[in-house]
Amino acid sequence: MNLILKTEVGFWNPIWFLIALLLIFFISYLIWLRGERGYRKGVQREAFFSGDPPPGERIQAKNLYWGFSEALMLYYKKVVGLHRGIVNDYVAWFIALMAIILILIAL
Amino acid sequence: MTLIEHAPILLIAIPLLAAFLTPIVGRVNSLLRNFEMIIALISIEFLAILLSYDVIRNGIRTYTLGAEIPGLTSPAGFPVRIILEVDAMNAFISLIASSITLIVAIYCLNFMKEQRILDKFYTLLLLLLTGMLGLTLTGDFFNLFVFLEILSVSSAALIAFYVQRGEALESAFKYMVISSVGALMVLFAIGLLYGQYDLLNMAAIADSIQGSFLDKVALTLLISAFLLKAGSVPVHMWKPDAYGEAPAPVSVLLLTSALVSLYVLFRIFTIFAINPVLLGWILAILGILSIFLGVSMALIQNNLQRLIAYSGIAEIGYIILGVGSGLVEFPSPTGFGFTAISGGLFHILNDTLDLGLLFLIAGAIFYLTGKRDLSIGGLAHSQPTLAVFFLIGMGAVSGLPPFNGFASKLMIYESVYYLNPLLAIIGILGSILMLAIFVKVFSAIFLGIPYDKELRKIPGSMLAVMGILALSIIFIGLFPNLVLESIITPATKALINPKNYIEAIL
Amino acid sequence: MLHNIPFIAVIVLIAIGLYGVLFKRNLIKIVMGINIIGSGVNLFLIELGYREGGVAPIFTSAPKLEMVLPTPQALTLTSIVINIAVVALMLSLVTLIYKHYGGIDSEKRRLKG
Repeated sequence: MNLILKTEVGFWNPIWFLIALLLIFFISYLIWLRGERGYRKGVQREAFFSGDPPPGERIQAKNLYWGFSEALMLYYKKVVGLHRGIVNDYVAWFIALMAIILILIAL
Repeated sequence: MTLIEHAPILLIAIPLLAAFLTPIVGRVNSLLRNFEMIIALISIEFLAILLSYDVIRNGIRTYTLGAEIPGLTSPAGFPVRIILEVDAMNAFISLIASSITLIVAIYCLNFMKEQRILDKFYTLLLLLLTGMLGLTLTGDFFNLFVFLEILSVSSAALIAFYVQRGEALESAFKYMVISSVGALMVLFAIGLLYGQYDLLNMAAIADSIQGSFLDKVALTLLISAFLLKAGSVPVHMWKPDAYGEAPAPVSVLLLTSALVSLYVLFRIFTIFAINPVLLGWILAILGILSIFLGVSMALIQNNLQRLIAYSGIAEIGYIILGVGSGLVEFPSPTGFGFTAISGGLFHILNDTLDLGLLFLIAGAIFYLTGKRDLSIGGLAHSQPTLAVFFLIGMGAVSGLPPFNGFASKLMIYESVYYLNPLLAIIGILGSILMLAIFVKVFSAIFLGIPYDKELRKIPGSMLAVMGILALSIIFIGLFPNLVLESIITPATKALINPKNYIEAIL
Repeated sequence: MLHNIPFIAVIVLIAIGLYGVLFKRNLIKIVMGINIIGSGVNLFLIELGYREGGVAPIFTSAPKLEMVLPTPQALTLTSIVINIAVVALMLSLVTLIYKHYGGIDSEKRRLKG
């Protein structure tokens, strides 16, 4: 049975990949074994905010890509503005798509 | 073998019959109703497997309604009867549709607590399956329209299943408006084709099509209507509404029905083959736009199901990109074109599995906490199994190596790169962003301070079903070539050789 | 020119319906627009099957053999029934929306972005 997925110029064999992954895990385990021994149990759960106790309101994970969306503010303003959620708009986009495809095909 | 001869019509008749049997049996006993429904779905699944096996081995199978052979036609010599036509491509799609419906039905046994409600739910679910299978198997244009409307009506009713929720009503209304306008455009296109050729059979029309202006108009209407049902970019806006507000298992079915409409789109595209290069480019560009817009909008969502819906738009984009760029070389796609198309079709399977798993997990989270947004946190402490399933789904949907998404995306990227490197680069960027999005979701829902409220237990049937999906994701990820050679390659060959499809009728 | 009048009527009907769907904010008017598009498409189908001087395609005791095409009539019948179901479902959704929010303005929506 041929287990190797051949594409046009390359191939993909997940089994070799898994073996390589295990090897990497083993090496990292070896490195981890040489690490600090005297760490304390029980502090891992405390939130860490650059050395200070966390501020009052919890920063939630949904704020995770705040910087990304802030940097692309102009794009997001435009795109969110297009998604107005009005049903007439949806149909208008559909008509527009039909018009564009028709112009491209028929002319 | 008479069973296999009648399998195409049985695949449509059994769910239709079972749909209307369900409320009657439900009046008697809800346990009996569950039994009946599961038996019906399992027999459909069995028939779909049998049919696919037969079709892949023995070639195209046709079924003529009301006559013994398709050749028994009117004096003029063209087929007037409704003909169901199954080749490897349809069989593959019908296999996906029936399996996913079976999985969703088992999941819903415990997901919805009110047993009386489930009568109506299962009726609609079986009707939806009828619509999907009919849309897949039919070889007749008007029949296509009828099944499209069955699909729309039953999915709209399923979206608004909890009528006390205003948002669900609103999204169902939007879905209904947009899909009935689309379906009427399909009917108009069918009228245009009928007026010119006096035919309704898809293969027969494809045989005699001239490529006149009216044909092009009809093709445009059909393609844009099915793009609308699939939810590609400029007409994707109903999708986050519908997927986000429907009950989570219903979202899985909506996703499957979107993929079924994609199949119809590809079929119409290949058998008509009017201006395939340009249309292939249009599809590829719409695919890229879908990927880009889907991931960038998913990044700022706070409702879990809505977020998955946006990433579903991106996944649809990958399928359209792969198949579209393969169809650019249409009359005889070889090499990269063939790889692109089979990658796209492979991604149809992977997409249902990955996003289906994620939607079912979203449903389980809703079952546990009653929340749809991301402000949960710390669920991994009490629900480690769910967290592992989510990690698997996340890896698969963003195309991480050992999972199934990687294999199909690899094929798409590589072959699209030879069409145009820029398209492949945007596709890869989309995948990376997808991973970023789901990492955010994972940390928002599963990591952090343990969830403070007392949680119920997830019923075993729900967990089992999610486990089956996760296992098949891993299995396909580890042995992609097995699936590819046994199912996908025959399907691709059937899709790109429309001659066989046409000649089976005439 | 005279032959084309039904086809022009089809185009006009579809255009009126699309106008309703695109520019009216009242949900019931949107549903009406969809119904009008449906009527236009049905008229189109009927018109396709018309043969000049034809009679209804019923073979028993037909006065002559010149008949209009039966297939488009069957299609139209089916399509009318489907249209009724769709419109009924949409109107019931509108009723429920009105009960829930107390208004049927399409611009007052909760789902966006």
